[in-house]
Amino acid sequence: MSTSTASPTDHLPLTPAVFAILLALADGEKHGYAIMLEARQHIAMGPGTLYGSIDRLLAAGLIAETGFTDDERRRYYRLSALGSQVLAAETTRLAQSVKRARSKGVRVLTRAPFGIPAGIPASIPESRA
Amino acid sequence: MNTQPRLRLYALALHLYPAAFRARYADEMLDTARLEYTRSSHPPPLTASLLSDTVRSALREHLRAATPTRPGYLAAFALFFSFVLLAVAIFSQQVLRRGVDRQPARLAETIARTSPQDPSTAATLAAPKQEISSPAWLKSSDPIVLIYDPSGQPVSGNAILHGTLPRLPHGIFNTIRDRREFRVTWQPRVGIRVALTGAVLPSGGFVVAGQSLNANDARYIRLHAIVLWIWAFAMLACAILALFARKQIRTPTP
Repeated sequence: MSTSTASPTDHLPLTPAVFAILLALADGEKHGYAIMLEARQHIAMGPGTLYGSIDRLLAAGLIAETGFTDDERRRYYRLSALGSQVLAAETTRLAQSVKRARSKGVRVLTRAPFGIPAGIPASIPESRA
Repeated sequence: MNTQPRLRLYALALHLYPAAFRARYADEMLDTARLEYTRSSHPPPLTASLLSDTVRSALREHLRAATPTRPGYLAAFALFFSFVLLAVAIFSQQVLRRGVDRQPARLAETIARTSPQDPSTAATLAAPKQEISSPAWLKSSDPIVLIYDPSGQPVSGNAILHGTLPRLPHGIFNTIRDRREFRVTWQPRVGIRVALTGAVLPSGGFVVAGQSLNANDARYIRLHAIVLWIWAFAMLACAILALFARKQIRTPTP
């Protein structure tokens, strides 16, 4: 299905796994394993979850294959223009949520909450949104 | 630690995925697992984690591949459901129609087996005549009985149409003679519909018994209205699901 006419906000809110994958690709193209390693800083993710999400993101036109490969078993993926817009829109949405939470006096935890994998920063940076 | 057996197990587990998904991603997934094992200092927990991830995501991919909310499936379902409802409507109409034939058929068969001179038949024929065109009879389920001679002329009966014994088209008698029994819907005038069953008498004449179809027609209309509402509701649900499915396909939801 063509998604060229889809608005970035049509895709919101993103699931944590999708957000983590898009964020992993924000600074350049990566192959699946590199995406998974970076995404794990945000959420637990195995190869099945990763490639299932990649398949959906490709179908939705949020990411694309680069066509470049240094190993025939690996494919490299990059954000599409729509994917960049969706990532920006989701980041804005999350930042606004954080801002609202702070305005209501919600405190930032000093320890990583239960269930979040190791590697998560212990504190949430200040929102600049 | 040799990780080859674990990788072979993972490669085997990849067969849990739908074939198209496996063809597209199996090599990459296997490569990812190989790199995971290379980095891992505790392979057993990693194997458990990989297998658990495989089972969950394979199930998700199968559901995604077979989800009935895809627009194509919905269109096929809508078509199939429409045919099923049409079949149900036609079948129910036939069942209702045949139900109305039951009483006249029993009566005609009884009279044909005995004779118009039988006391009970004679009593039926001698009963006050009912006007077929009257709203009271049309709404009722009272049977009528008419006796015709071998040439199809009315002889006696407990019903009249506009004051005289009803005359039936001659083709009906020829058919009764050929088939020994004949069931037909007779509509002498707009608004009057009668289920008729005819049988041959031992004398060569004919007995025709009937019952108003108007009450049955009202049941058809109610039945068709219910079927139409169910159909409209199902089509609306399909349309909503199709719109939802389009959004789901556009929006990745791993």
